[in-house]
Amino acid sequence: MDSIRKRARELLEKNTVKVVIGYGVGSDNTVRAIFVRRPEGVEELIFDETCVQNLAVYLLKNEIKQIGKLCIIANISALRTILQLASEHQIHEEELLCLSVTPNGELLEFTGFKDIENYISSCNRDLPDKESEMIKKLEKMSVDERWQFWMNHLSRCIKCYACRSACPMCYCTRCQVEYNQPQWITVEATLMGNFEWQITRTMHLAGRCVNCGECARACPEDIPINLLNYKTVLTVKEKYNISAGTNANIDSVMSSFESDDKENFIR
Amino acid sequence: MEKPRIGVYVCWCGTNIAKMVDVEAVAEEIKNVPNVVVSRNYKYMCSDPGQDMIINDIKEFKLNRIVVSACSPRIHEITFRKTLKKAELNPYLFQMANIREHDSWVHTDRAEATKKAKALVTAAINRINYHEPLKELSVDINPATLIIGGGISGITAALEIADADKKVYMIEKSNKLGGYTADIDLTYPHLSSVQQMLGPMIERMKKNKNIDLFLETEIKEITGYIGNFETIITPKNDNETKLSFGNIVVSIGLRSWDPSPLENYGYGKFPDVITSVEFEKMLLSGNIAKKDGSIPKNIAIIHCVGSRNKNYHEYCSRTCCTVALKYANQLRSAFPNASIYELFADMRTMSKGCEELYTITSRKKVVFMMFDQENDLPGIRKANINDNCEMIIELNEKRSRKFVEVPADMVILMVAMEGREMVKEVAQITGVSLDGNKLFIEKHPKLDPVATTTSGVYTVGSCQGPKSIPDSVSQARAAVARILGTIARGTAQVAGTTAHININICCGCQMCISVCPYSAISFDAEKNVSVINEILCQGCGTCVALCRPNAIDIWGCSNRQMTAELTALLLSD
Amino acid sequence: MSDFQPKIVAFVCTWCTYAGADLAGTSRIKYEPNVKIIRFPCTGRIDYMFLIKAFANGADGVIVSGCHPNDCHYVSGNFHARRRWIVFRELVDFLGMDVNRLCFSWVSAAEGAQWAKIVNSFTEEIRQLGPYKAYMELVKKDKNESVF
Repeated sequence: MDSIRKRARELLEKNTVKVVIGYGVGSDNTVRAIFVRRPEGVEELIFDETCVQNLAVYLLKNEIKQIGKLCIIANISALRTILQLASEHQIHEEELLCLSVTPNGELLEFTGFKDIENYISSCNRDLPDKESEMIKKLEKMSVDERWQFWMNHLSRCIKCYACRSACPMCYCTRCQVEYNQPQWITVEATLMGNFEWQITRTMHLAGRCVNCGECARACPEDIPINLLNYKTVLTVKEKYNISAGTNANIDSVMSSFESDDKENFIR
Repeated sequence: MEKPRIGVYVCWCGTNIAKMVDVEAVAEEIKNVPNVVVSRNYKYMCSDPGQDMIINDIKEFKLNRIVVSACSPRIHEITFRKTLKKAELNPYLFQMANIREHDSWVHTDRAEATKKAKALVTAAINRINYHEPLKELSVDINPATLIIGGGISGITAALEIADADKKVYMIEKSNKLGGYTADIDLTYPHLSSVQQMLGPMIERMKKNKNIDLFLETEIKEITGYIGNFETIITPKNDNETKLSFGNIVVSIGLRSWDPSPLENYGYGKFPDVITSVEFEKMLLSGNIAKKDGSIPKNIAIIHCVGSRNKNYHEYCSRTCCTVALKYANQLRSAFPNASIYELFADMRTMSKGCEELYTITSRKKVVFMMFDQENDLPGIRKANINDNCEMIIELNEKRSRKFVEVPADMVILMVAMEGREMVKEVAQITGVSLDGNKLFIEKHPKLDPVATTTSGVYTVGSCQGPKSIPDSVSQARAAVARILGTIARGTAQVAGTTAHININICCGCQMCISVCPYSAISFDAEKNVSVINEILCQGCGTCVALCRPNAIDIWGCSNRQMTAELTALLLSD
Repeated sequence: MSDFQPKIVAFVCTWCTYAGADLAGTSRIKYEPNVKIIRFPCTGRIDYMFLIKAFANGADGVIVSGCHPNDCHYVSGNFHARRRWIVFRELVDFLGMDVNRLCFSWVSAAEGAQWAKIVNSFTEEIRQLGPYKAYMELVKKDKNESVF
């Protein structure tokens, strides 16, 4: 923690960066995102295993971008997000500097995407055990049981789009749910609209989701929508052996192909 | 946008549609669909009176959208778009419902077929509400032409274009010009020399300054579109050369089939069972002889070897019957006393002068015997010593219904013609489809047999279907007429059905750029958005389906149009 | 159940499957009238939204069909489509949709008989499955109103 504060102070004092996005203590001892713009503010920065939020979601916000060069305290999810956003031409190397801490407390400073790629290749990118188990359980169910499972959950969706706001990959200027030529997805929170929204959200994140789990944490109705993304992460890994957020210079899974992509259902 | 005023025309296509679909009921019922102003049914909408009816209605009722419910749009969409143009209506304010190929011809219950027709027409009407007038783009035509394949068709096309003082690039895979024709001795039906005809043509090819000849060269890839194609070739013993051209002629011909799989004919087993191609070479060399050098006394010619046979090639190879008659004549001249047998399945001598050749041949002591191609092919076995011949052909003669043993010292198999080994690659490179027989598919089988569905690409000669020399030459000249017409105009219209982008919505992820097979999308770094080049865009729509914020849509197949069609199709069912 | 006439919509590309269906017509091959075709330039154009909107508007089954691999008129549209279908099919299966109601096929311009075969067999499969009641419960809208 001290090493992060020390380095952040240096960066701000030397004016190398204009702002440091990091974790701080919120009300009721929760962890929240803080934006440090003055050297003395670095004392508020914390970094430990409770810092799970994917701070990369702030990188594309206009309010942040206009401040100038920034430094982000990045956990593994955030680092992968940065690589994925770079591959989608949303952020550029010179715009940011990343600080992170290894599990044994060593400070890491990444100046280029190549550094991040090298570090990520040695990190564990597997899905959390709890979610992996849940996906296996769902896969063992009958189709009708799965349908019922999701209907029970999706009937609670209030279409607040917190899942979308929390997702660092949902950066579209206009989301497909706001498209009305035609109105693909109903505006009000109907069961069908909720279902179609989740299909859309998952399809749009296919091959791009870095399984940070931010969508499910943001959901006020505790709908396990991250399972849909995780399932697709597994599909993409199994079929194409690609994990999102590992390479800053790669075509997305859905905008590339192999002429011998394998499937067993096309007649 | 002005309120849609839709005219709907349900075609009978004579009895083709009317027999299975109650066209009057369809026309009557769709009068109630919103925005339909006029709804009619007529015997032949594509006829002049049919088209005039549309033109008059557009004027009289101020129609601004037209739906024709008839055959496949792949046949008459262009016809009716021209009709709209004549009436000064934008040709894209048009939609067809296919109630013939997809309905009346494939269903057997009139009530069901009529119900389906109503659904298809209603869907077309609902969709056309969202059609917009589109502009067709004009592209300049590079006056050079690329010809792939230097057989008689390719040579004819090349000379014709070069004579009009336009550039030709001739690509030939082998080391000589002439193709299949170069291996032929005499032509039918008049038995005139091919070499005397072809030789001067090849000489002219070599001397003509407008023709760049690339022998032993293959094409790997062609980029671009009508008027503006490009390729890079590597001619033998030469450097990489970039060629630019406006039109393409594909004239790769066919190859002869290896008859080994038909074991009853013993090809490869008996030395004197030979193919028509091998026999033609004997004729060219002037020496007809058995493998041991002796003169054959009994010669049999077997027709339809691998043609009209569902295990090999279902189609008729078209020229072999008359070629077989030509062989009988040439053999009779060479061996006045030999026994000559023609073993045929059906005698097909349909071209000019060919039936006459049949009559002449039958007067030259040639024995004609018929066999059952479908169920009972002849078989060849080795003769016994006292048979006084090499082989015996056993057949059930179809007309006499008698079992016959035909003596033979030489057997000529009239083998089928089939697609060449590289035909699939050429199809892919030129963007032309192949049918199930590996023959190129024409744009329209009757009305546009040399054009293809890819603008600026023509297929001529046997690669489009087995052909005689005059038919191949006619096709080559027909394609050239089309090409010279395009060159004379100097421009071609390209479809207005291209993708377009809303730059206020584009978020610059550039996925559309990765998927575009035509490099039609580029990135504007200043505005941070993708930009579509309408001329390069071919309108596949892959970028549309991939664009998450729906910043891209496509003229003529927009999200709005397709969902309107979809919902009406399902709800009117 | 066997009297049930399923509603099936087919999203096809114009170059291969649409042409194949035309060939079935010119060859006068007879098949079931339940499948209605919507023509797209390429399978690459077929957004997965069209598929779920077909079900939302009462389809009991959906066919998506285009050119065989390597035969795409636009070079690679069908390859992109295939990736999309692989991911989409896995996802909706995980969501509990009945993937037996989705038929993906390659039918070339030369395969008129194959098109008729696919229409007949898929129609029969959907007839056996019956109406897609689960999805219609999701819709819960007046049946004669388009769901958009």
